[in-house]
Amino acid sequence: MTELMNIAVQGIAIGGLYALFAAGLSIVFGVLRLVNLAHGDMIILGAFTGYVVAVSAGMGFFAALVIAPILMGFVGYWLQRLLLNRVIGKDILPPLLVTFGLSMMIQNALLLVFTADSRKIALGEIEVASVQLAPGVAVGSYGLIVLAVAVALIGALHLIFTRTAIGRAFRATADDFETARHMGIPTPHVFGLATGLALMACGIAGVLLAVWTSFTPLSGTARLLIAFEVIVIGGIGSIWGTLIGGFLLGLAQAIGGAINPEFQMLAGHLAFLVILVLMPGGILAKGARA
Amino acid sequence: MSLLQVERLNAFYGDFQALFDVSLDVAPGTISAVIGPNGAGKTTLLRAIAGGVRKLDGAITLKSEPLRGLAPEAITRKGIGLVPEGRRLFPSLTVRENLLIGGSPKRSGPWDLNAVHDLFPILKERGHHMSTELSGGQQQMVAIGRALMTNPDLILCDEISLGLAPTIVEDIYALLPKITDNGTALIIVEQDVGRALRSATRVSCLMEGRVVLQGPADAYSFDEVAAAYFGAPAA
Repeated sequence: MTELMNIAVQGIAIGGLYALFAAGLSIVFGVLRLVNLAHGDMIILGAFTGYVVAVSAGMGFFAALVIAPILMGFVGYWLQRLLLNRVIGKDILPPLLVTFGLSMMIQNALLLVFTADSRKIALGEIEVASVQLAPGVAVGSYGLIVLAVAVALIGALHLIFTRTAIGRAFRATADDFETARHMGIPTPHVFGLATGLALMACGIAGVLLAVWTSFTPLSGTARLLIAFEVIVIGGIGSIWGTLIGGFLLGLAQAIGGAINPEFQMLAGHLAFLVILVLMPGGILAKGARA
Repeated sequence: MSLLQVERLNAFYGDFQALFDVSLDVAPGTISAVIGPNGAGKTTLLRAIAGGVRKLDGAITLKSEPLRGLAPEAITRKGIGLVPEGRRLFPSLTVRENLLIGGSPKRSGPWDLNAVHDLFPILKERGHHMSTELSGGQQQMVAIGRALMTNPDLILCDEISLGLAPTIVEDIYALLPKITDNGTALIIVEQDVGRALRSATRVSCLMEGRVVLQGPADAYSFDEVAAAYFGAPAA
């Protein structure tokens, strides 16, 4: 029983990280209907940005957790305005090609600057500390921090989407981009803000990842796959769905890993396939979006 | 002094020409009807004014400011509201949110949420419903209210009676003078020639992309318009 509880707790903690991976992808897909193949590399870009702030500049983890998302958000806004706005339209192929190209460019630029060495942001005692939840059931403190950030971020995104004027503009634009323009919504700016918000989420995810595990410039692809699985499990375009999808994927991996460490990743992919077959729209399918 | 001037407008979809030398003059506070059979170019004319047609020739000016070539959102900010064909409400927004979207250009004027609620009290009552839960007539009110929220000088109404019960259409048409009283002008595209002649001050009849009849609505009888419709010269 305690073993099961431990597995569940671990799965949920890493599920929080997975939800963070997926949040940005979900925003960009939900608002712009754009599949960002460079999403994983943008998380890693966020991790390196955090590394530079925390380690190279010596400002520490918490400064990185604030500064990296702001920088990433700024990059996201202008990336959308200057590049991606030119390729989005009725044809879905150009944005796929452009973001695939971006993925290559980010990977190679990072290799050039940081080499292929693996890096990590060290957090000292917090990393190894754990919290006793019940007799025999413990969770790493850092896992709890990640989980708290994930829930807070998803909650904040939910409030932005449902309660603010810009969130309203996001949803209207996603519903019917042409009519939104006729109502005076400046769609290039709205798209810029959506991508900016998405890359802020990538920045947060990247910095948290950089403490969780070591990373290299080529670590992005695996995170893109996880992000995709999370949003398909949770329900495409649903903000809360990313949290649920993250938990489910994390739990599946934790259970698989407990049976046999080699099954960890496989169990996650199997869970993804099962959901895809049984509930193709995801758990929080349309109607429960935002 | 005219509010909107369209001069010798030609519109194209690729190689296909949809409008030929269409000219139109709209004075403030008036209702102009655009009539004509399906495929005559009525919707294209509205879309061209609203910035939804890329390939255009000729001039469109609002209060002497050129509009041609501006993006749709810029044209809305200049003062042109649109009630699109088929209403095109935002399905994931509530009624209230749909109206508020119209308020995003932040133009000053008499229209805000309260003013729209006064015009269509049912929309206040149903404000928290999803727009898809409303009846057709109520949805049309949302579409009109959403356009009003942009505080336009001119509203383009594309087939507002389409798919609605005749009594509902009467109710909606009866409210139009409340909109024009503020000086806001309306261009209505209408299939029902009789209704168009009754409610409009000026009428333009389009046939295959060309204006075949244009003038004060009371200068033409139903029969003359019907003759223009079927291509015979007006008597």
